[in-house]
Amino acid sequence: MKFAKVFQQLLDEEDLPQEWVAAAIQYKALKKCINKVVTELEDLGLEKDTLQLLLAYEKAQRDASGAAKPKLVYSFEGTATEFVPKITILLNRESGLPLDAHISPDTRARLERLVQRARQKAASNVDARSVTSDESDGSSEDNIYISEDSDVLPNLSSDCLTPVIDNDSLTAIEGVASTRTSFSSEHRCSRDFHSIISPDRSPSLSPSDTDRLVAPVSASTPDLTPSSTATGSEISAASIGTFPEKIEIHLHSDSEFFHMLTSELAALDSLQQEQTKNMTEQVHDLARKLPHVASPLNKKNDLYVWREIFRLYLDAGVFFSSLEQDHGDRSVDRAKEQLLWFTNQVKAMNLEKRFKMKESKEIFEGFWKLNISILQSLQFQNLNQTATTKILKKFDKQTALTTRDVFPSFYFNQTSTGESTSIARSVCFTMAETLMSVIPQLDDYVCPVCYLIAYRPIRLNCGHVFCIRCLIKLQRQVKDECPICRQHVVLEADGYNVDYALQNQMKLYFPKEVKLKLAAAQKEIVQEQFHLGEQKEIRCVIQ
Amino acid sequence: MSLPKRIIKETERLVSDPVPGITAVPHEENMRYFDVTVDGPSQSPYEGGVFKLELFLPEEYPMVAPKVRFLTKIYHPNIDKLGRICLDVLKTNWSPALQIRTILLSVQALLGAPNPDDPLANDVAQRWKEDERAAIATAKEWTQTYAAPSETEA
Ligand SMILES: [Zn+2]
Ligand SMILES: [Zn+2]
Repeated sequence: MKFAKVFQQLLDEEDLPQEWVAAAIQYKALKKCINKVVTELEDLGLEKDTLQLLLAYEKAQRDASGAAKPKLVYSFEGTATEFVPKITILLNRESGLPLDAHISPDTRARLERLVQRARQKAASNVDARSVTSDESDGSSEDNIYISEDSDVLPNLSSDCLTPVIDNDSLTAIEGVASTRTSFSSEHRCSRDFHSIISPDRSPSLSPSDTDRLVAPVSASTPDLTPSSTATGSEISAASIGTFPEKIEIHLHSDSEFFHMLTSELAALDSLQQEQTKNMTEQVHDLARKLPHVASPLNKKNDLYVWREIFRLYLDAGVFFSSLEQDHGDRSVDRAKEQLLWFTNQVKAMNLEKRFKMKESKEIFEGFWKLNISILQSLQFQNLNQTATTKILKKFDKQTALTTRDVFPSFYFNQTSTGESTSIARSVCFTMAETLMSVIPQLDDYVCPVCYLIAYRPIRLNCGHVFCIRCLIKLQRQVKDECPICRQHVVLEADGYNVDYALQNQMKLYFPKEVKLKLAAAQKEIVQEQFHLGEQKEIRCVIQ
Repeated sequence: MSLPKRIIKETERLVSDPVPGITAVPHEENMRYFDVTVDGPSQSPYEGGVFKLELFLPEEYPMVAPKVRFLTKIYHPNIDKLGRICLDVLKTNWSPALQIRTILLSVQALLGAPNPDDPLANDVAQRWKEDERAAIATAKEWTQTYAAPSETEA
């Protein structure tokens, strides 16, 4: 099944709120936009095969010499909201030819024509619309810029961009250039076409030029070609006799595509922030209500039921696993499974029925719904991530441009979207901090030696707490090291090391566990006395 | 006699949250006795091997260390012919806060970092010091011969 269809179906099926569905990635519209990009590239002679060749050439160069020498680069420039995607083709400075790639003569001819047009345009713009003939061909080449300024390729390593300007080679270049008929007549007026021409700085454009330049990028972002006029003239003076270093191509349709995509991503991001805020507020609301029904100070309370519920919830690790094998975030499907497990356990243990207070039931329902919401938003987030990845993949597949290498790093560096804005992570953190913490869990009160509640609690001078039974055993063995930190603090411990505050807390929150522990301790003491008796008897026999 | 809470808890966690590369299964008739396997650490001469061990929790556990012994033959300077292991946390450095899982991780780490200066198997340690390459080659050989994972487990 086509992804567009699957995507739409999932959005429909998941019973998502209307405003979520509205904010979802517009996969179909984006897909249509890709078709426009393909057409525009074809008009320029940069169809898939050609681009692939140029990019393959780039890779080959990189492998051979270690340093990247790209002949064609796809890059983004600007901010997350105002940017231009552009294709940059490097030219051979000496010959003025587009590149040395092993491309077909046909393509080469087309690329040469491209350069020529760009230069004509540059000349015409500077010479106050003296040349206007190239408008009539109806292609979008008005967005092609000749550039000498290395700054316009922001993502490239500088070593492949440093212009090598050799004034002494003027005659030699002339010699070479004159053999190339298509360029020989023009290279001398290099001063003109070396200036970087961008539409916003060309007040002399003819009306039809301007029309075509009202593409989203050029129109809305007047500062995007930062290669200033100052450097333009400077460089051109220094480089008389050489050819420009590269041409830049700004497409209308890819700009449209990426602005559509980024505005959708931004909308999703703000929706997500709003959701996080709502859910966090819900957590706080539950946390305000819970103490009333779970406080051991109230004669009637649901402390033990709630502890059991939260223990099950923690065991389930619905959104995150703390196990060794699959530590970390859960997939949506796995989270769903775990939430189901939790729900079933609660049912199997009849916990809801054991509530004594009716408010407990309401709070539990709120808690469960909150988890469903987190799950839904996780699913929604996932769907959109997949849609974004898929649409970029489609873009690359149909154009051969390297969007997936360039766009995510550009966009997510510019926005905070990339860094953990996972709703689940944020809401679950608040849940643990404010809601779960209302009910102390036994795990935080157990003795690290016997794993029973550390009653009565002895706090050693190093700060670690053990039950009095285990401490006595250590002292009998004359083991002075704390089992946790190995500081020599065991033998010096005495009655002053009983932590009475902790002891009271244990009695209040864990009355059942304290009772069990006391019984176990008593049993042990009896056994020890019995053993002592045995030993005495043996001793008697020996004597 | 009933099993202490501590042993029950440790066993439960060994099953529900196993340590990668390590298994420990208690005997049904004696829950203090465990069948253990430890995978040889990668980039060690024991890589690819699955080593069988036995582990026993004495009555005084955790006030005393578990007893651990290799059942699979292994060429290692700190493990002798009887499978006895020279490892500080099993002897003098035992702490009752350590667990079965932490001990087995230490055993696995010992395979990755043999220490011929504190030997238990003197002949192996001697060879390890004199000709480490040859010793490692032997350890690899023994791993292939004695510790190859059985087909039912693979
Ligand atoms: Zn204890
Ligand atoms: Zn300590």
